[in-house]
Amino acid sequence: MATVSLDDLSSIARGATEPAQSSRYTPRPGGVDPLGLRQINFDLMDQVIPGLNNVAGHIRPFTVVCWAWRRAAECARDTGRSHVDVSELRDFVNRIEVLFAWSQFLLNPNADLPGRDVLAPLVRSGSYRFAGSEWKKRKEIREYSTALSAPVNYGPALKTFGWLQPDSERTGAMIPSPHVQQAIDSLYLRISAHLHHPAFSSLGEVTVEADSVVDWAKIWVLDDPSEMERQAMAETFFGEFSALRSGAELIRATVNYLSSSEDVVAVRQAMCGKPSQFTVPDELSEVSEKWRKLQVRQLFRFALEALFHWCIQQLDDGPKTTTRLVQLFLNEAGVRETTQLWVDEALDVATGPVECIEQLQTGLFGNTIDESLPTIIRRCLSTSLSESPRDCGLQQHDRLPNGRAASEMKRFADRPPQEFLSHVFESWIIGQHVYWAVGRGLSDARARDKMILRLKVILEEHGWTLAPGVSASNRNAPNPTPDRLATALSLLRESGSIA
Amino acid sequence: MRVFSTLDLLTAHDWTHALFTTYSLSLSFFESVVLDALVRQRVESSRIFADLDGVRGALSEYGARSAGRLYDVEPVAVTAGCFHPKLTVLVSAAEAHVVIGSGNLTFGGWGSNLECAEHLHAGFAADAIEDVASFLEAFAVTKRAKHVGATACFEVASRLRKVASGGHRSGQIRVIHNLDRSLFEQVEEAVAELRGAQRLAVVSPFYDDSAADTLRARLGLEDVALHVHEAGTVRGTTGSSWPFPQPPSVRAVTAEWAQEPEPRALHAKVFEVLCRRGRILISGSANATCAAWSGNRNVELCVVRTQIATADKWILVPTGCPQAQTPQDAPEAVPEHTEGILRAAMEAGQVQGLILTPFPAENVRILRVSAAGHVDVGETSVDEQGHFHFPAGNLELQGWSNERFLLRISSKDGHSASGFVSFPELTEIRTRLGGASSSFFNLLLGTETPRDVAAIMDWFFEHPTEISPKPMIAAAAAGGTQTGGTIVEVSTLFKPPVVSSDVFRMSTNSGQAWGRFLESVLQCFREQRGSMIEGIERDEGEADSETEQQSEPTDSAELRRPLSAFERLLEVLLNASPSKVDIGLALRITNYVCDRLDVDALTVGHFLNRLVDALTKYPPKESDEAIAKASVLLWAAQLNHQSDRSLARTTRSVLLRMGLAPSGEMPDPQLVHGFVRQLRPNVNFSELWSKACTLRVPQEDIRAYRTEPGIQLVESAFPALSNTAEWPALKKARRQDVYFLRKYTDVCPKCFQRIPTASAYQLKINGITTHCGKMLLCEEL
Repeated sequence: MATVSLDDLSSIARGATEPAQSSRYTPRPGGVDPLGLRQINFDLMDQVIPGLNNVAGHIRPFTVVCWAWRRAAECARDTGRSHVDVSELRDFVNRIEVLFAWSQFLLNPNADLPGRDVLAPLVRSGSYRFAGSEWKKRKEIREYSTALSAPVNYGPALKTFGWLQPDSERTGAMIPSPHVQQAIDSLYLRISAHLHHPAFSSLGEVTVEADSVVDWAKIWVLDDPSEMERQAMAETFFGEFSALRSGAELIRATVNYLSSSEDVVAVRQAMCGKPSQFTVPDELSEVSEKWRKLQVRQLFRFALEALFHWCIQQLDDGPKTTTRLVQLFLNEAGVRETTQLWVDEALDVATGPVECIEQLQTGLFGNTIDESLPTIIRRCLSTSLSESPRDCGLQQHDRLPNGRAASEMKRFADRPPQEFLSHVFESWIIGQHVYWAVGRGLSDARARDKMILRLKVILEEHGWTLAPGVSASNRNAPNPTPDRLATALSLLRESGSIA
Repeated sequence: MRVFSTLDLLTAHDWTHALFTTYSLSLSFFESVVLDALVRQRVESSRIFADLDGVRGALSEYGARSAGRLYDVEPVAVTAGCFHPKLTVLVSAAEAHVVIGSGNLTFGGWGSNLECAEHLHAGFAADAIEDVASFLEAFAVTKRAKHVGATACFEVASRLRKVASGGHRSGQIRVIHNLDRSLFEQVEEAVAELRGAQRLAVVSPFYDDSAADTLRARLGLEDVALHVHEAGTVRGTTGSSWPFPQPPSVRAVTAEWAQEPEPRALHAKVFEVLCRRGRILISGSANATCAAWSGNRNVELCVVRTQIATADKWILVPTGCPQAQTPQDAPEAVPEHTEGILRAAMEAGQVQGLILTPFPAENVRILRVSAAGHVDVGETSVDEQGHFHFPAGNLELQGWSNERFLLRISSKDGHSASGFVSFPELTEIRTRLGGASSSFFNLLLGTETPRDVAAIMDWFFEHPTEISPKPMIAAAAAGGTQTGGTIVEVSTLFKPPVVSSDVFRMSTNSGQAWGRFLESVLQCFREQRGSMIEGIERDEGEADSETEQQSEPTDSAELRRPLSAFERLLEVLLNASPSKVDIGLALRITNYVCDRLDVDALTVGHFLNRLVDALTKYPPKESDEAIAKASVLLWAAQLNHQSDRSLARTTRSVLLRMGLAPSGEMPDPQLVHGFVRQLRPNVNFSELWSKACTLRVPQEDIRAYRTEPGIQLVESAFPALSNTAEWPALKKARRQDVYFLRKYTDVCPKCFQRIPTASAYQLKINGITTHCGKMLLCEEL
């Protein structure tokens, strides 16, 4: 880690004739989820749309990766060897993933696939050799970032949807599940004319010409799944034992009510129930409640992150104490005699959690002239707290569950909102922020991982101050965490399950 | 002037001990920057001595959480001034380095402000290192400052002396403090040795109305040059950026060395005295104030460089005098009450504390302060010296946890004091844990990495008696299973794993302190923490929008390593001698590992099978019944079943086999959150539990039939048995033709012939079959 050795520093000190000036501290700023609240949102998403993320929105990549594993096994068998190193199989799958993405970017530079930027040089090149140090480095980078199988892309869904299973010895090899064999067969059929190409028929080193990739582009077009692929995905969502079933049924019922799935926000709102006119069928009321609970959490987190962003903007012109921040906030958001009145007055029966999220998003990016950001934040905070449960269940206390927040708010119910907001700023905002920023930093330190300064607000002699390198720009304004609905809708549309 | 970074020095060597002194203290800065570096360097012990004002500020930082655990904060109350030294001491077995400067432990002090710093080590300034040792020894016993860190001061002083003893001495660089004598006197003496002063120049952010002029007069000079800083000075709570009213002897200059292309606010304090036979440079914590330079107010620490017959001197450019600075913001209301400061330690089940600020001797309430608010933990009394103590009780368990630990005491008449609590027993605990100690503390803090999990599992594997009060050596010696290697048999790649009935439903879709510490560790396995793998990916690797970006690859082997270590441990846990198997513990650790490491569903199912199987052999303790029941429910939810009824019957059967009553409230599936999250069962647990509670299994009926000989064989009395195909035959059979079996066997106890497979299956599943003209009834579940 050290950039200067102790010998060098000792030698410089020995030769010095004067005291030194302190060098500037130039941290590498970074970090997401500044208040550490997000894990609870993910847990709540898991209760409605488990196993999916916000990336895996097309059926074809599922089939391509499954086919790649099956084909890798066949290639291994064709070598005549009884055993094969799993890394050779992975190498083949990696190659197929790259060829698929490469071909789709040739067909459509804006194809909805990960890796557009990193594959750009490849897309422009005349050929590529799948071997050597460049390929090795590319594979290493892709493994946790742009590979289709990466944990941030299709990797989790491929496994949790049961399209791929680990082999029984858990060597790291994957095996396509029997129930998606027909989907794979349908892709097999499309590729069959090209199977003779070494890229599809051998393990190890292969060089592929761009012309070949152009030829392959149309045989596995990203958004044109076969009937078998559609059926496999529909079974994934609606199969008898599918954990996605109740969530998918709710989505389908909502889309049927709206007669369209194009407007994701409208679907999200209606799935929550009131104030939407959509009456959720009784058998789906439980999952609808879970969805609403998720949206309330989404709103709570978004409201606090917006407040944190507002706080950063206030500190841009110099340090401020908590008292001053509270004063500035209430000057715009309005004051009442007690916290309970302050909360109740901000509620609006015509505005549900999803509507609040939309308003806050508009307010954050300065697209509203009717209301100040603090006023919107007040409404969002009040709405989320008024719908929060009274207990936290087993949710992690330090992730600030809504139940904990609601019970803490109750303690201030009869006291002035200034006291409540002081608590919000010091504990829910800055306390949470420092706790997670420092905690994650120390985790990195223990793992001797990269050093990132996640801290954005610090306490210095004159109050809360921006940490070095922190920008108050609106470009850093928060967004609500995507709730997987868009990807679920996309997959359901492609599978023909919804309009 | 050259630049220097204390952070560079921190990360340049594997130090063992670190000690810091400061006036202002930002714990969020310390933990995110300095502690980060200390952790990277595996520094064993770190301690901060800070003025009460600094500690007071640090107490309001809810997020900083490691004080008392990873480092200690020692508040210092100075009788008539403040504790102002800015000292960093870094030692190892072979090295002793100190940095003495003007920067506090804040972002400002470590780079945002223009500060000065002297880096000294025994290689050229052993006498200065010994001076620092003398300062620490004097500070440990001085009556001018109240603190409880004397032992630490002596220990560090001793280490400094040890390394300095073999060092090089020139006598030209010395460290001075004002615990015994004023800085005025000491500088005056040093100047006299160089035959008197010819010029005095001062760079300081703060002045009072007389100190600079007093020093000038004591050195026999006609004037004194004060630096005017282009970017202004750091704002302070006391003092002014210029002596107002300005004495006639003062002239304004700009010291060339303090000019920067991108100027920073000045906080450096450096004095240059040009003498007849050389030059003296004084730098460190002392501002140009009498509070700093006298011998009875602030505690200060400075480095004095004596340069004989040198031509070096500052270039001073005359400039205009500055205007007095006015406050930027409207002043805020001054708080009516200033919180007192205490210092406490938790040891041997007791909390011992000292209030460092004036406090009346009286009874007080004790509160634990957390981000969520104050929790009343009891009452105690404060004596006239400010001492208090009370039994730690449950506080100790909370102390190991991941929140910061603050105590507040308050009296009925409105006096209150707050402060950090330290845990001296952590030293012993660290010793016992050896190299795994940081991993255990990460677990307690909730910041463990996969590497930490591997280290913890390895440690328990190597110390099996610690996780459970009984030895499990035999099992450990037997060795554990190995996870698969990286070579795979090609033929297996065409065979999907057999998973249907088990898992993967988605495919069809030291004492007392040591004991208490271990208890806290085991408590971590009960918490619902979520995936650390997801955390790595979601929190750090990817933005919310999950837009494409290149992230540094994570070593996948690193992720497999903890799982492998856990599997080894699980073997030990489940293969102990029967009386020593702690099945509840095995369940919790497995659940924790599945949750944190995001173990794949197939493996989770495998673990669950093993555990349920073990539960039938080693019934759980009463305190583990809930988690055992939840595990069985989840296990059952993975089974292929013909009907909900048959599933419920299987569930009940297994529960009864474990000696668990299928009754009462449904066990919370979240108790096995880690399993649930991976297996994603699509079963209505409430219905399953309800049915399992109400249904009877045939074996229960058989037992009832055996134990109540006179009972009528009617459907209502034997609801399960009456559903079997043999029921009509049983009803007709004479009692002497009925043969009861306590344990299942596929050999007929009457004719000693093997029972045909189909009949044996019936006997095993439904507990009833016919053979050689007899009715065989088996009550084994």
